[in-house]
Amino acid sequence: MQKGEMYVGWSTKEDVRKRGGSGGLVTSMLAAALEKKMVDAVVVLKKINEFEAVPVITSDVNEVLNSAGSLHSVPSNFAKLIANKNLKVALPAKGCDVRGIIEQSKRNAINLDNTFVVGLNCGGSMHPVVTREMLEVMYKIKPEDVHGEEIEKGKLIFETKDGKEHAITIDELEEKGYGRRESCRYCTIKIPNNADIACGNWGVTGDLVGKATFVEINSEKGARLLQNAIDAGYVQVQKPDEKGVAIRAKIKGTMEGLGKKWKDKVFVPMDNGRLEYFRKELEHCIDCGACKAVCPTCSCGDISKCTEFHYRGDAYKMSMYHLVRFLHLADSCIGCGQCSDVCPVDIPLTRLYRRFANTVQEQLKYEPGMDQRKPPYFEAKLEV
Amino acid sequence: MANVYSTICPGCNFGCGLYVRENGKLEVDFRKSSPANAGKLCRFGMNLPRLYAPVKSMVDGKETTLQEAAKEAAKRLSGSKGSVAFLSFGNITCEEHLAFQKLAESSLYSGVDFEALPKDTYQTLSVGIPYDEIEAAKHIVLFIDPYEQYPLIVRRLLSAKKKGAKITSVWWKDMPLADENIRPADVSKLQLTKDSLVITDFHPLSDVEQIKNVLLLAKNAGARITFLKPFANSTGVYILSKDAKQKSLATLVEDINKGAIKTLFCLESDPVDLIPAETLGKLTNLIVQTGSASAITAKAHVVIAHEPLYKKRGTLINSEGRAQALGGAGTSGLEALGVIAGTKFEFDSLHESVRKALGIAAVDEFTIPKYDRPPYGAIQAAPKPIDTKTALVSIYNPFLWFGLADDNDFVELNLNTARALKLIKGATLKIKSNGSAIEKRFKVAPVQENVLLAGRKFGIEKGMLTPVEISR
Amino acid sequence: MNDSISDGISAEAAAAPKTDGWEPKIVAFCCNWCSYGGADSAGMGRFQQPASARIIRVMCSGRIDPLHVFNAFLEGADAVLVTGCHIGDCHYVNGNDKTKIKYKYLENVAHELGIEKERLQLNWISASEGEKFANFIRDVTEQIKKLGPSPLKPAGVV
Repeated sequence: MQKGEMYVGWSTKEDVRKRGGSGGLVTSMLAAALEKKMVDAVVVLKKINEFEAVPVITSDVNEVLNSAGSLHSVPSNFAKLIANKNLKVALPAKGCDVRGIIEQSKRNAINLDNTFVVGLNCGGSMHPVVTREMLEVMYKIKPEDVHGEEIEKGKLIFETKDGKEHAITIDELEEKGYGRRESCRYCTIKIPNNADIACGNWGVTGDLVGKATFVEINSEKGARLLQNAIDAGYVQVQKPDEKGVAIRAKIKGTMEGLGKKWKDKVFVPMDNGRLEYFRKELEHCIDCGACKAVCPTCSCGDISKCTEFHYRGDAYKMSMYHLVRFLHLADSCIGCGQCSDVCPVDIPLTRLYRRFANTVQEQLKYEPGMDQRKPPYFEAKLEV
Repeated sequence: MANVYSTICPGCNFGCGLYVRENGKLEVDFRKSSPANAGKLCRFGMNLPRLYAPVKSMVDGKETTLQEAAKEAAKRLSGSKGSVAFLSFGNITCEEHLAFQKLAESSLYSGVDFEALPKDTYQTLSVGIPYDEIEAAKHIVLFIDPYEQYPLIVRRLLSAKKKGAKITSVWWKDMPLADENIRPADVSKLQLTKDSLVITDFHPLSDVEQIKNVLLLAKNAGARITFLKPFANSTGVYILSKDAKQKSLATLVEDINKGAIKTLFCLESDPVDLIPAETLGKLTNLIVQTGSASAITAKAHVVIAHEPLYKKRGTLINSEGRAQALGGAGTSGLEALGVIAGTKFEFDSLHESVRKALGIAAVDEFTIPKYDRPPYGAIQAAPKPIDTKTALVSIYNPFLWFGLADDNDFVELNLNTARALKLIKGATLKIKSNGSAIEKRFKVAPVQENVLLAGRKFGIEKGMLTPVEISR
Repeated sequence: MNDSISDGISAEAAAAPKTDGWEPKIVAFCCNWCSYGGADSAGMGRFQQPASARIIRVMCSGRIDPLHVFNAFLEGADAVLVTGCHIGDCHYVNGNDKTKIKYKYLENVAHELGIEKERLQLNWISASEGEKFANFIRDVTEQIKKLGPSPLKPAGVV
């Protein structure tokens, strides 16, 4: 096995297949890595209900096997969770998790040699509170009755406990203000080729639909991870058919196109009144610091420029905290949306940060979290 | 590997869900599915690990076990029968409160002054209006500083505003989210209708006449009124103590001063900043049962250290009446209370009583139990006008209630006041009160003229509002 | 006055009274080896320049953190100038290369934020270029006079 190869695979364990989405390959691969001592720990989402799961770092193979299942309304980011812990760890990761992990590694908070990143294709995630409201308002079903969820052909489908399926197109949901988080809508990383291995159900065809996972190996570590799971007897793989590979590429292309469209829609150029716009958006800030604490690319810790040079007693027109964050995120923002998620006064922070990041990252042709290139800010001489 | 607890922030009674992760040190993590706060936390919530300072059981300065400390407490309590006060602001679970109530009997001090308020306002004061209803209101009137005191209400207010609500703020400072700002002294200019929803707060330092006045204003206009509260389970405690006699903080100070109270038992309550030091010094026995260290644990003769709130098992009720389960398993608080009371408190039966009192079959954070909202009768209010030229106003925020330091060692004042005093940017302001003088940095803000606002205590305060003299 | 309002200026600043004889406050960061010398020789050479500039000497322009610039604006500067040795002339080999990188970020962020480009300028000035320094200060002062006070100026600061 080596970089660039593609497979279709599934778990050999019946119960994992049943519980997990798409054949339970990711779960089994993580469990095998732990079982065979490739890693000391695995990060899993411990499911509480359909709308809540808590990320835990575990060394218990059974806990990993029991964690199966994809949850679209658990918008977590694992990068900060494993940062500065010096762990030999394997973890599942959406595009934004991967980007966070890579950015943390550039800042020496994560050692990539000890980190096995299993990338998950991701079309977007939803905020659990918004999802509950959406179920009641749009789907007219009780959140408690939901049994499963799936995104298929542009539709968000909820299965209720009575076995019925309820589908509404994502476009319709998002028009009404529901659906995916805003940052997911304009995200253009749908297949995480920056991870060691990229997994997802796009490209699984024929009888295997819903029962297998399509994997693409992106690195030598990824190859080792999959080979280990096969050797341990946890998973089985086969070569994908050409049709599958083509379908996967097509979905990726469509999704990325949609993402770009959203980006143009959200980031309408502003000629005038930008300062007023930013000041207005930030006027309710209560200095809680949550946006920094949650930011997967920030690795400063408690003592950092944005906090140390910010004093609540300053009667400035704009807080130093935000100015420093704007500057630092200009080259580092990965648009994961965590800051907007946790802001207690609902400031659309990701949108603000992206305004700066879009310009700077485009100009410097730098995409944070996609490869090992150092942030241009840290260079001694600017190449671009 | 790491222990993760799904818990509720004790910073106030808003009911914010979060995870606390024990990972060598404590970390907070966001619980995005939490209905009250959607996982969002305020400045205090982000600082929660600082609140949970570890505490050990002690008797007269010597470390001991919870059992031994509780036994010693029982001995001292029975030795001073008749002169004991039981103080709990409401930072405990409903189950613990039921046990505590049995222990305290007629000497229950919840700190708030229910005695001075009409009985028929009890329910209104105890249970607030659901946040969803606040978001749907047409006119919202604030008698609080939402940003400083109850930050998680801000997004609800902004959401209401987006839906077309008008927001009126009655405060010493202009609020960025308000459409109309009225100064507290001009409260007569406030126009309420039956579409108005009044948001104010109720706590041990509330001025009863002010509370009565706000209740009266709402009643006369047919407006709805909701009280926010500063302690983790204020609402739960008030609901469960509906029929109990509760005494106020002022009464406690009075009782200690006149020698009627010699022994004080504090349950998860730190009155150090709220009671004069000389009053506390008059006590023969200070017994503290708590889950985290604070100023009071250093002064106590007996410290009974149960587990911190995030490790507890039990129910909390937030200011909208939502029952929320804590994610821990610990019941050592009940155990200690049992030892003191000479009985055994079973969690399950207490929990059953809590559910019965709420009329619910199970604790479900997504469904708010139904509460009676009885109208209250006529109220006589005589709010005292503020007759001082310059006043220092203490804004009670979670940091202040818990005695935790925050980055706010300054006062806020008006630009005209700063100009009149010829204050220099970056320099300090002299504040004098009753002979004591301090120098503080200042921040220019849209505050009422001749009012200083502070989010922390400087040691010269006489209550929430202190007459002061200022100079450069 | 509308024609003088370039992109990003706030309504507040536009409405602010521009009393005659208003003198902008300009913070000029100068490196010890070149531009500070430039400022010096501007004075020695008696080149006409307005009294608007407040010079802050740093050992190298590479020391100028964007934070310093933000701070100057927040404290009430109407314009901030970043100056240093010509590229290749740095006393510390490549300090000004680093300035260039930081400045590129700063410029982008400041522009996106809505601070007019006249209010933040970079210029390389050698110790002998006294006239250039004086002209630079004069030009910037003129530009800022047209723009009016900075929208980031705190309340109560003139």
